[in-house]
Amino acid sequence: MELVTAKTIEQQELPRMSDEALLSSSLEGNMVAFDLLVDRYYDRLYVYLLRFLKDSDMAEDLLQETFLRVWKKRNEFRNIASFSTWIYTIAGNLARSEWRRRKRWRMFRLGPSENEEEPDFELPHEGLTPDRTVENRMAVEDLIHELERLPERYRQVVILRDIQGMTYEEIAGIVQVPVGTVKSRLNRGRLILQEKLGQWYESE
Amino acid sequence: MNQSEKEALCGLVAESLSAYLDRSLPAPVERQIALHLEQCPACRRRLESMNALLADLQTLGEVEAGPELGWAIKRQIRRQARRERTRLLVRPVPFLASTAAAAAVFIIIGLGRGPERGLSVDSLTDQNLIQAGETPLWERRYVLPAQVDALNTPALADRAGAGEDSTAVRRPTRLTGVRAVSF
Repeated sequence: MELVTAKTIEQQELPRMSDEALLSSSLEGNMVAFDLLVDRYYDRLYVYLLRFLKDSDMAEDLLQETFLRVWKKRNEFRNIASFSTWIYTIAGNLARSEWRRRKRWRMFRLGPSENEEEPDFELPHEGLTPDRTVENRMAVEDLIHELERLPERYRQVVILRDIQGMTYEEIAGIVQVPVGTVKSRLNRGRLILQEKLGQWYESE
Repeated sequence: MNQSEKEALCGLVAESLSAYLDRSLPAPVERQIALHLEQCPACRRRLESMNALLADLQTLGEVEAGPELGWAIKRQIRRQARRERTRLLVRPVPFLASTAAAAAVFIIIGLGRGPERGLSVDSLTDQNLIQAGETPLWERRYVLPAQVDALNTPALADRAGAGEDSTAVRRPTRLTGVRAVSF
């Protein structure tokens, strides 16, 4: 009876535990602890993969693969400081591999890929000012399109910083480059987007 | 400030806008840019444009994967955990463990077959054997090779035949080893 009570208390504590503590608990066979890690990360990792690959099916597949790898390698986690950095690194590596695989595939394909097709609506050329926001669906569609075309080293930091809201230090840990490199890549990535999307985000 | 200096400053601001918006510039540079932005409408537009871009980028995060995907992941992890448990149960015995098991079986069988249960090799003296209720060594036809032929001589055969165990006389004739002990 006492054991059941202790277990119940532990389960109640789980939501307040850190990611690292949850992973430790799952190492002892607590599946509920790992479920909580899934709950904490699957949504934001999905966004990361979706924006990186611009393919929802592939994002779902890689998301499942990411968690599966985390589970399989859970014993190796002890030497890594942050679970968040670790899981994002795994997801990022999977996304980059998939991206490169697709890029090679595209080189041998005849005709445009579905991602390279022109949007099926007319692009407005005037009447829009930089202060318009979310509701302009076409601008956002264009933004998604250009984000996908951004070189991957810039795309990754733009997604992590501007879409996921991470700090420079967190991004540096995930991408495994110095903070200064993160800053310069971010700056370059944003400027490229601004330039490509000049009709929406005029700078002159 | 002449025109070329102004253009140079505009170029610096354009390159630094990203960091300026992130508030990651050193304080003096940030102040210099803020001052320039107050005086330069072109750079202000550039700033607003970059702000709009960042605001739209932020909206790209407003996507939800849906609970079904979360459940699918959890199911997959549970399947994997079950597979791992099954693999543990049917895992082949490692080399050392199997060797140790074989050695244990050998020892148990050996002890079970020997008449001196509970006696170590060192304690196999006649006195200990008698005390333990076992047959002393001198009665066990402890035979050296040199004695094999001698045992086959009629004199020894008669002497041995006078003992309780008449088969003991014939047994040494089958011996071929260095020594034979009838445990």
